[in-house]
Amino acid sequence: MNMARVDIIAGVLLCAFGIVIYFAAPLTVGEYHEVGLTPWSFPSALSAIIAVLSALLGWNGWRNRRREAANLEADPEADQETGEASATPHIFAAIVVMGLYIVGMPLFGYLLATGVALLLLSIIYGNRRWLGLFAVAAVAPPALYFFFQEVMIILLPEASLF
Amino acid sequence: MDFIFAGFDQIFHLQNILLMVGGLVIGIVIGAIPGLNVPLAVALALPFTYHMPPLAGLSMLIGIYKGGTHGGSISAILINVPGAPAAAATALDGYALARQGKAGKALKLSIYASVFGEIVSDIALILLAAQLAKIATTFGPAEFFALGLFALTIIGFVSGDSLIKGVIAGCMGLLFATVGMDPLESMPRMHFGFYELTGGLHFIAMIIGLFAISEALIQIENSLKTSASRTVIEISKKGDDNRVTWAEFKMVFPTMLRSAPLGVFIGAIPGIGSSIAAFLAYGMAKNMSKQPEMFGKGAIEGVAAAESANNGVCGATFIPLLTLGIPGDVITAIMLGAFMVHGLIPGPTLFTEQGSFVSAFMIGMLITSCLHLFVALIGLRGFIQAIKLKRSLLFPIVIVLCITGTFVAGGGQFPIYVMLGMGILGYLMIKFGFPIPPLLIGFILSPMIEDGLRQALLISDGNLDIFYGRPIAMGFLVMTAALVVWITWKQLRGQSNS
Repeated sequence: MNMARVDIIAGVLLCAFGIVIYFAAPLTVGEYHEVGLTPWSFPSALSAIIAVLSALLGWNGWRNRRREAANLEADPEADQETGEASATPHIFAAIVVMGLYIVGMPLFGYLLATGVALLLLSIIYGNRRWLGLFAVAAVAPPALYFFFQEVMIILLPEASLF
Repeated sequence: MDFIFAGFDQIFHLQNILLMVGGLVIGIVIGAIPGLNVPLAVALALPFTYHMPPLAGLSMLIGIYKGGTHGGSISAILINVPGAPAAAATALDGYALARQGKAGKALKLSIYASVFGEIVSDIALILLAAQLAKIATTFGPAEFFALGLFALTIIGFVSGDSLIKGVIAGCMGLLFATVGMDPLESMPRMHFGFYELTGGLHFIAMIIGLFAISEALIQIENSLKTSASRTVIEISKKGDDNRVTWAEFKMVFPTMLRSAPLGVFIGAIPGIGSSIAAFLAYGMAKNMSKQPEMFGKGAIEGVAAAESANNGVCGATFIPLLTLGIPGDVITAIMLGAFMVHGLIPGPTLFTEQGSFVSAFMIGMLITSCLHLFVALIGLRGFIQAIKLKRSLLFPIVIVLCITGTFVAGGGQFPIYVMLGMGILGYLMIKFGFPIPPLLIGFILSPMIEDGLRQALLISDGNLDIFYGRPIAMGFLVMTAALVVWITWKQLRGQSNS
């Protein structure tokens, strides 16, 4: 990955984050009349430091962009991100499955939601041994359910839809 | 001595012993699997200990820590892939021994050396911690603020290639810790309208997200890139190749005797870590060996030195943690969180208010080290099989355990969303070259720094003399400034050289 480009993007995003938090921090606290250090002094100071350092990071990236571009011209293979590029949809899919699993747990119950999530996640990780895949999806959720409900006496979500 | 014996009756419970054994098994298995690491294992186990008594839960985590630190050597010896960075030094000679058909010998020697290192480290902890805590009981807010700032310099050591990114990550951690209630005024702040955030960011959710979910996402890339199965060297059937003879043990014992205290010394200094201890001990053993040319070609002293120093770090990292509340590395940072989750605040007050607990905990560490020997030897053949487990099978289960664990510890849906958010943040940090440990260290040290600063300024009526007039506080501030200058100089010199 082109680190100069990465640093510029990270620098700009984090600098914006720092500035927003710097101005928003006092607004998150109610009326306050004490003098000296306020509840927002520390967060504001930290966000200011983040903003300054991020600007510095972005500036460094900007300064290094020409040198990195020259390096890439000399060695074009260094910028080939085949692994990362092909993994991006898988990572996005894994995050979506995790999100759906979290939302689905109270709706469909722990057992069903966990089984389906395990199945889908295994496919995302490239597991194509269907027998083993279904075996894990069928065995692991009841085992976890038994451990938490019966051994640890902790209630897991039950299905609210049916 | 009375202090040490006070915890005996607390720790000697079947539940605690079983959890230590369980922790050791989990730790060795996870440590042995390349791609899974000790911070991930401790983070993953943390919610499971949430509903246990503190000593029982911490006993299990200690087992995972010790087992995991040693477990990395199994894959280092058998497939030349260190399960943990510190095991890279073990691989140098361990793998060479394995290729000579002496995998069993290397594995058993790594167990003996690891356990020896751990026991030396635990004894050092027991002897030194209480003494250091006595000094620390004189600390006031000014000293704690200065100590917190000093501890933040660890970020310089764990930042990797980019110091600026490490400092930004550390500041993010400090900032995240301000979400919730203001510690002095008890006013909600930084919650941005989310009622659930008034209690602060859920610590377990944060740790699991940053260390386990981010790693699981990274492993998707790895599982797509590499599908080739690893060739595991089988253990020879010949008896002599599988055991460490008495003559060999006598030969490596002086090496272990030198390496373990080196590990203890490095472990007691926050921020250096077990990798450096292992390589330093390896280098020292090579320099002092009568046959240095054998190193790298299957020298048993090489394995003994690396492993005893590597595990010698384990107990010693708890010296600054228990006495001053400073985490020495990322694992002790998570362990500090485990203490806090159980309502225990490491630092000098822990010794005065929970003396018998501290004593029981330290004796527990020693017992875990002794159990480690038996668990590792008995389960060795089983642990070797763990290396063959596939990522595509493991990581879906890891993700499900993360979500279930966070639900169990957090008691609702919101902490799981925090965990997922932190997981995505952790993944992006790795992709953008930001180190994650500084974020966690900042998050943990934030209350010490902010409370110390504000309380000190309240006491002194806003006068900064409170920091200059107190020798310990001043000493920490001077050391902090010196370390910052040194780390920055080192970084700039590295940049100009490259």
